[in-house]
Amino acid sequence: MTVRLRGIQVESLSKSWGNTQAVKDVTFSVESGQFLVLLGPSGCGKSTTLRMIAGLEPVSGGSIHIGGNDVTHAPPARRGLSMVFQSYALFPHLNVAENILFGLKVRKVGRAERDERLKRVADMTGLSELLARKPAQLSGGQRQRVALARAIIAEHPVCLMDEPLSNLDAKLRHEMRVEIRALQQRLGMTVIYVTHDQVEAMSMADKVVLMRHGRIEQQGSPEEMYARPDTVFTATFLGTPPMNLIELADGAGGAVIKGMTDASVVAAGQGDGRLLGVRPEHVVLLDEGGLTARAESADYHGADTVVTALLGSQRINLRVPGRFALEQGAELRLGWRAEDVHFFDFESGRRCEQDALPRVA
Amino acid sequence: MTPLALALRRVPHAVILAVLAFAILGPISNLLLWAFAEQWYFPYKLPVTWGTRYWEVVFRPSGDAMASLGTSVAIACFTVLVCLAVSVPAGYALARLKLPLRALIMLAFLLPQAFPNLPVYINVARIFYSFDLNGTILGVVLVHAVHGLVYSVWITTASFAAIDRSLEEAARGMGAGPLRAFLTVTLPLALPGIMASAIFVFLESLDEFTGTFFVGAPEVTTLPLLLYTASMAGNYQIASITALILLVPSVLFMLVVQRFLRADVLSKVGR
Repeated sequence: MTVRLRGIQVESLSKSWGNTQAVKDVTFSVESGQFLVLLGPSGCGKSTTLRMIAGLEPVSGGSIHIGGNDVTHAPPARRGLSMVFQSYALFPHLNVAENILFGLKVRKVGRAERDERLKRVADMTGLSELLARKPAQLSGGQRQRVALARAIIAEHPVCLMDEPLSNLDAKLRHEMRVEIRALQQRLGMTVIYVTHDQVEAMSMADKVVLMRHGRIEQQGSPEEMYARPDTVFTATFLGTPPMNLIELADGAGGAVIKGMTDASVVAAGQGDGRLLGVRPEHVVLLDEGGLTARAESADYHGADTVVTALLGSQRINLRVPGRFALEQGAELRLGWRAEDVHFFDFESGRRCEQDALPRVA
Repeated sequence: MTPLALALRRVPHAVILAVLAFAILGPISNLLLWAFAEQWYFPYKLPVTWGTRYWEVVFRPSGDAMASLGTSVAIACFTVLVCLAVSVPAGYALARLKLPLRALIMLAFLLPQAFPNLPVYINVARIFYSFDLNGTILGVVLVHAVHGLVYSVWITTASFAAIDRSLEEAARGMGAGPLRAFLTVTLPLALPGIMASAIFVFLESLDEFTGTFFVGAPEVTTLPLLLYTASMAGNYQIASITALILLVPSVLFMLVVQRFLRADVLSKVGR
């Protein structure tokens, strides 16, 4: 427990405004030096959760511990954390240096130390040449760096980031992703990072907390969540294109794909009310055998092509390396390995255990 | 298109501009003529004798004009102070806090404008009389402040509302207390709007006549009151010169206000 004390523990956290409950019974913990991503669609309560941890939003129920101290009702300044806002929240009337130094001046850090820390942080974030500029004279990426510099100069062990990259273009977003992750590891910061972008979550996180309708849907390492989603929601939220979900039906000798004329058995046991999940990269083209599908369209990405095919009346995506010469309506033979298949209950959306029959010899 | 046709297309614009210019500048040029006329009587279209004799009368250190100019400016400054003392806290509260009846409060500040001025001021004068406020600078300042609060509260609220709330949150997160966050972040950012509202209040007060007349006269003589007395006495030269003096700060400040009031603030006025 002594190691965990340095991280952040969130216990049964909830938030309601009148009758609407924005966050319900959220419990997770971050270990010191870990990068945790709060992931979810807009309105799922992830930003509210972050704002409660930051102390910007009063807590309706539950508790927050940072470094072993109960900070559930502490003012923001006493929580020993820094925050990066989606809008960057740079002070437009102050220049870059004054923006970065704001917190140190408030906390009456001596001039010599201020200058030294400013120099170090400015070097680290590549802002040394821009210190005298006003935020309005900076590009989006530069503003993002100022916001980051302002957060790390405090040398707080914990940093909260609220969708910090959502205002940047795709190329810059990729660069900053790498940069933020590198900076976090170099400084050993504990980070809680809010985003709706599953790519950011997969590529940056040590741990992902996926939220939906104010609740935690699933949490774990990116690999775990990708490889073994607990629910249909997790299965489809992570990965582009998302996992294929194919409706099953009861057939002779086991579960078959609903609406398929040549009803070959894909799993043992029940089929009605079940979904079969398989990721596009796990669907392979076979020379013979397998399930018969009709090619519908192909989306070329350069390194690979995502082919959409009709399995009976249901769509299925598969990832094929290189370029795929599509012949519309051509017959494709599809297969997958038994261990790459997931089963979910149609009603509850929850994972259920069932034996898949191997489609690839 | 030929150059001639192009020129012809500009004619309507030119005519409209000329009419507009005449409507605005016509009365002022009449003021200018009167200000430099020593003698001007019927049937002459222009002054008979030109000169600056009346300017000397007005600007004589012992003259009424200089004294009432001083009174006017002092009253205007005090009015600005009173309005700011109310509108900065009120504007912040109206912009930031989820107040019940917010719309009603905003409307209350508009109310003095909604009623006809004369009955309002006559009643104010009656009430002030019982408080011994009639004929005092304080009384006049209070009357002007009621008028000025509309501008200052509405514009100040808009300038606070235009500031991104996350700026204050960022300041708080970096360890600043509420007051420090307000003084170092919110207030400097709202300052242009607050300055603009202060200028409006100043100009309103400088020009105000009715309220001053009922509450202040005859002890307190402001420039507009002097102008009124002079023109009632048929002394058009003094009246014109006084009017020109009143015009100077208005024009100067309007140029400044136009720079202070940005679109993002204006779009929030009355929200």
